[in-house]
Amino acid sequence: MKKLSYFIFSSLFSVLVLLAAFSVRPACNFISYQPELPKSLRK
Amino acid sequence: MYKVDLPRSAAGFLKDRLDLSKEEEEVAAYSLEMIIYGGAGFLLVCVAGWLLKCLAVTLIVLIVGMLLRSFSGGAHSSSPYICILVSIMVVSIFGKLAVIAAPYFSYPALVLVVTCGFIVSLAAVWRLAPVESPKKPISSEKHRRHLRLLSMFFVFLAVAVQASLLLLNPLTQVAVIILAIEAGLLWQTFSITQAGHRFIATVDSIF
Repeated sequence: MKKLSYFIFSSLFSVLVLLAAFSVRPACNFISYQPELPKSLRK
Repeated sequence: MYKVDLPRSAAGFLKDRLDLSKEEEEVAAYSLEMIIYGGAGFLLVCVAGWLLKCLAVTLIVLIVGMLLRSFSGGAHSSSPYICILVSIMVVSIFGKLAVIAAPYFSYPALVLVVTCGFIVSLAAVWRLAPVESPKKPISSEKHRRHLRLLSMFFVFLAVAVQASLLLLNPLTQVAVIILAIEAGLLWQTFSITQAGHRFIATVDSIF
């Protein structure tokens, strides 16, 4: 059970990292709100 | 205003479960903010459009505005809740106005609206885009140039779609779609101007 939850959460985290990487290039991701881009994603 | 920071709490939960570093937690929180607030905004705009009986038209306004915004940037609310509120009000009202106004537009009037909208949008985008957010600085001059070109390309594309609709379909069927595209384009154009920034700042100060 512990292994399964670790697999699910690590998969979720991978998806979140991928989404963050894709969101770096556009000027804005939202209709009117832009969350602070993490320092690790800034060039 | 009462604030619940769900993305930060969820990122904290992931950090504990996966033993993430501080930087990894920030990346997770950033993505979760985009998913949760973006998804909630989209869903609530859809509900507002459905309640006003203009869901499809509201979605056209929203999608045109969002696509142009991804290249041109624009004025920013200080809070995601204000962002969602402004989006619901503006997009659904524009959607409803497009539905109400469409029957009164003749062919020459629509041509005039599309032409004026094209000139205003292109001039504003050429002069002002991309509008940088302090929270997401544009990394290089090359990237800035790309975003400006993509913004201008999108304006051309939107007007090309409007022109094709005008030329190839009966006026009664397409007037509402043309007006919805125009509303999305002009709303986003407004948001990159000084007046747009002042509008968002005024809404921010109210809440």
